[in-house]
Amino acid sequence: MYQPVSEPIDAYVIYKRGATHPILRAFRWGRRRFDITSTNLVYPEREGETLFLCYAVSSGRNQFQLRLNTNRSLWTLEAIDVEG
Amino acid sequence: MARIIMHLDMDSYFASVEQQANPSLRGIPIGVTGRPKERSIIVAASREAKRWGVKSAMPNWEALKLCPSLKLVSGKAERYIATTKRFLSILKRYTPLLEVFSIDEVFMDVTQEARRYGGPLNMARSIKDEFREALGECITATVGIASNKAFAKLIAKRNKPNGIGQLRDEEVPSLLSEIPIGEVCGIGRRIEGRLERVGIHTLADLGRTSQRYLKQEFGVYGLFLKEIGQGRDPTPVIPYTTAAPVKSVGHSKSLPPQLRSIDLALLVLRGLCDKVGRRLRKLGYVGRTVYFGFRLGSMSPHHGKQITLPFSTDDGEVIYNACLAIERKMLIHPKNVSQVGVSVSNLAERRGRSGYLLDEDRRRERLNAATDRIRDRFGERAIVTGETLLFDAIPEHVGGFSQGEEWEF
Repeated sequence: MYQPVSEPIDAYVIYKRGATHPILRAFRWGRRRFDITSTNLVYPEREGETLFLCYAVSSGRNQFQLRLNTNRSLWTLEAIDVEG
Repeated sequence: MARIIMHLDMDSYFASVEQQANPSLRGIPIGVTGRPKERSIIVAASREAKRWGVKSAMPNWEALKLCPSLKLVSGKAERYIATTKRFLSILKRYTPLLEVFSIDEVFMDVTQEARRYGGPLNMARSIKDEFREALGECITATVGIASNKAFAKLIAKRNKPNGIGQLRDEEVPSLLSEIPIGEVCGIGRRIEGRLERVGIHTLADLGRTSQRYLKQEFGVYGLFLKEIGQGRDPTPVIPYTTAAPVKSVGHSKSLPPQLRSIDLALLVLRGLCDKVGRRLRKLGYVGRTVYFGFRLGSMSPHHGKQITLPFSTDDGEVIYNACLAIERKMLIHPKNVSQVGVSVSNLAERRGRSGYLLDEDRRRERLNAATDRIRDRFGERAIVTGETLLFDAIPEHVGGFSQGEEWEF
């Protein structure tokens, strides 16, 4: 079950040629770094003029939901499911 | 030259998307629902849940009774819309004759294009390979191939999940004698009942029935029945580029038990009217006929009435006042309102400014324009009327996607 977090994070991202969205490789939450083992789903959400890209990713057995505010280039960790 | 029609149907769509998004949901029975903790229904069941008999539109409590290990997952419409846009953008590269039948179903006329791929079966395999690459391993589709839409859909249904099926012309006669009439898209339960009462049970029975009799009983629709009974369906694939004109704009909402008194239900209705007005303005329409409907309790029929206003409007408040007038006219004092809905029809394109004469009307028009600008910039909930705050108490539910959705992809 996902638990809400909503905290800003540092993200390690690749802007790959031809890709429809930035590719998230890892992120740092607090003192821990999580390397992304699979990007399961990416979808857009719009709030007014602001476009968010929502990422559902796995790091090992842990699941994360992250959101990129494309207007401000801000990443937030929205929710975690550490059950795996 | 016989047509080659493909019907592509996503398997357990919303549930598959949720399983794709969260690997911990894979391989277990899940049900996508509007409100997991409240009275709600299953919008989509995963393959694992279907094995336990869980079906779409089943109340959550009933689904949990059938499958106690069922995990209820709150649906997220943005995920499904984004995934649909992604698979549609793949499909439109195969043919421009692509009809979006619903959020998870598509018809394609590939008569011209199939040869390029070495036939329709190879083409279907290529589409499925691209889907796996672009959408992920959990989101799969079944493809039915036939010379018309009705039979392509039928073949897809018979090859679920994750299959490909092709109906060859020589197989049609034997199929007609084994297909029950109710299995065909376009033959509803009521028609099925009427046909069965006169001894028509299979498509072959339908094909043997005289056209004259069918026309006499069902009018023009009888001619469609006759064609289907003979394995034909001349209905064309209507490309996504020919968008059907909007005929009405409406919203409805199922209410949780704590909001089922008429006073609270009307506040929810106020929010719905606001949404209808906002959508009309976005689409550039004004409408004159307002329909207000509600349902009492969970099993009761729908009550509703419409009125036609002396003028056209795109204002949520005017629409709401029309609903209140209808409610007073209906002389029902409802308790336990489980659903409210409103729609506006009799639409016309809004041309320039409205030309209101009264100051109050002009003020409201300016107010709507200002709130629209704020919402365009900061989001739909950035500015709301006090009355519609209650609307926020109801979680968004998933479902209600229909034909005619405006797809931009």
